[in-house]
Amino acid sequence: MARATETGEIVRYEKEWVTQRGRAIGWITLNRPEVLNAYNVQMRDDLHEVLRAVHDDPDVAVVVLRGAGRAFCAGADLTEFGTAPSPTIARKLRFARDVWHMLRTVSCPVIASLHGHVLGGGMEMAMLCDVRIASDDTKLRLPDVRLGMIPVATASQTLPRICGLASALDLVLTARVMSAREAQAAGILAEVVPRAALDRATRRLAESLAARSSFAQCQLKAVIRMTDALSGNEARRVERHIWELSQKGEEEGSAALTRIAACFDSR
Amino acid sequence: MHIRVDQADAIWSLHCDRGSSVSDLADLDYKLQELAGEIASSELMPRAIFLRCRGPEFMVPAPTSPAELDAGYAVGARILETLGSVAVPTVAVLEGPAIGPAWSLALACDLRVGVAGARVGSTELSLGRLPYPGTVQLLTRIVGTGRCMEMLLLSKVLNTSNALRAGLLHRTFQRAATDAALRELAGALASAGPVALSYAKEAVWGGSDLPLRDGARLEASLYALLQTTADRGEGIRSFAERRPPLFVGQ
Repeated sequence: MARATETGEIVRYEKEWVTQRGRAIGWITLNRPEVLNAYNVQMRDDLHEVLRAVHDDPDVAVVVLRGAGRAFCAGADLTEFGTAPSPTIARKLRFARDVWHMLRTVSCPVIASLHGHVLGGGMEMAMLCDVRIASDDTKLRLPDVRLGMIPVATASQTLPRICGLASALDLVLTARVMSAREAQAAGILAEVVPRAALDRATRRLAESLAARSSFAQCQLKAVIRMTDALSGNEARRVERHIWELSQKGEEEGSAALTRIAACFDSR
Repeated sequence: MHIRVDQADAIWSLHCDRGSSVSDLADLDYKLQELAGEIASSELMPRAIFLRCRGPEFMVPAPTSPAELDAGYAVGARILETLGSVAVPTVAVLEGPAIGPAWSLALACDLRVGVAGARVGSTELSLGRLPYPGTVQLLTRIVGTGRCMEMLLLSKVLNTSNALRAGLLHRTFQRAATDAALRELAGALASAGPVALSYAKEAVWGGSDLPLRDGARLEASLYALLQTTADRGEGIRSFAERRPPLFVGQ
């Protein structure tokens, strides 16, 4: 699926059937362990391709995003910085191949399984997932301002929504390292486990989500995404409308939900 | 109110005595407006502004009557807006309690740090009044609606440990360690690019009133602008050369 290099696929994707009812877990692995899974243009393109496949696959009930080797992701590959022809073209490309929007709008739940360094773009990727589980050796950090930059994979928007403005400002402005335990207390991580138990705990979480009603989970994600920044009255109307899709039965309801979500996502 | 601004380093510090009247608050607002204007019109900007008050309380004493609150209402609303308009990060340094209007001022800053033992909270409802206009919006965005309701409706005053746990304070320290703790925070902020800090603040606050997708566009636009700065090039070069960056704010 993703392009292979001499060292293997930069983004590895495996679909694993887990239940009798034709439900699968999609395992996405960032696979540049020799550079702590630093995010480069090829990884962006491959992730885009994998996410599109996941998006279009009704069998996938839950997706797990993880990193191979010693870290989840050490952020952007700085060797590629300055290679864009101009800031205006870089900005245009950012939205032409909007992998971040795609990650946020995967219809089924997405779990980030984190360990080691979760830096910069790596942390931003994790914030675009729905649930984050981490090992106790995880270190989260947004170092951008120390390099004269700001986050660009939406952390300035996702973090305040996840942990509130105060913690978000602290992380973005001071560029400090946050430990896994601290991140759990701030509401950024749902669960922290010993390093040796991370794979087992991630699988348990993924299987428990895969065993639940896929449609209800998609409905929940859609409600949360679509009501972002709506007024209370408008949000209640959307929530009620999405709820009423349950009455149509799963197949018809899912098709309607997909159509509605597409309208919201194209705004 | 005696106000002094130390502009010698990358971090500016606004020192003042505790105010006791509406005109003291007006003086503070005037000074902050002056600083905000100076930063907006100059290419050279500080990394952050620390707001310090000799005490015993932070900026203004806890209110004792509805009349006292009513008198400060207009200037209070204005000062919260002024703090929001400062283009660089602001840090409230609580070296004593911040109750009522003082807590509103602290909430309008980007970061809040305090000495162990300082208490914080909005007690205006116990006097039959709302806190300064803007406080409710700040508090809900910082701690969420549930905790905001609890704090305001019950006029809750928190000690520093609880405020830290709730995410209302970012750091606490012993009084004797105040200077060392502030030096550490100043060092962290001073090692960042000034334009990047200012844009990071703008992206977070600006995005808080937007749908996520529009916020992402704001962030991307600010990022693209930063690509045209000398600081961004210096940041990348310094990383490659494994040395601290020398940012010039341009």
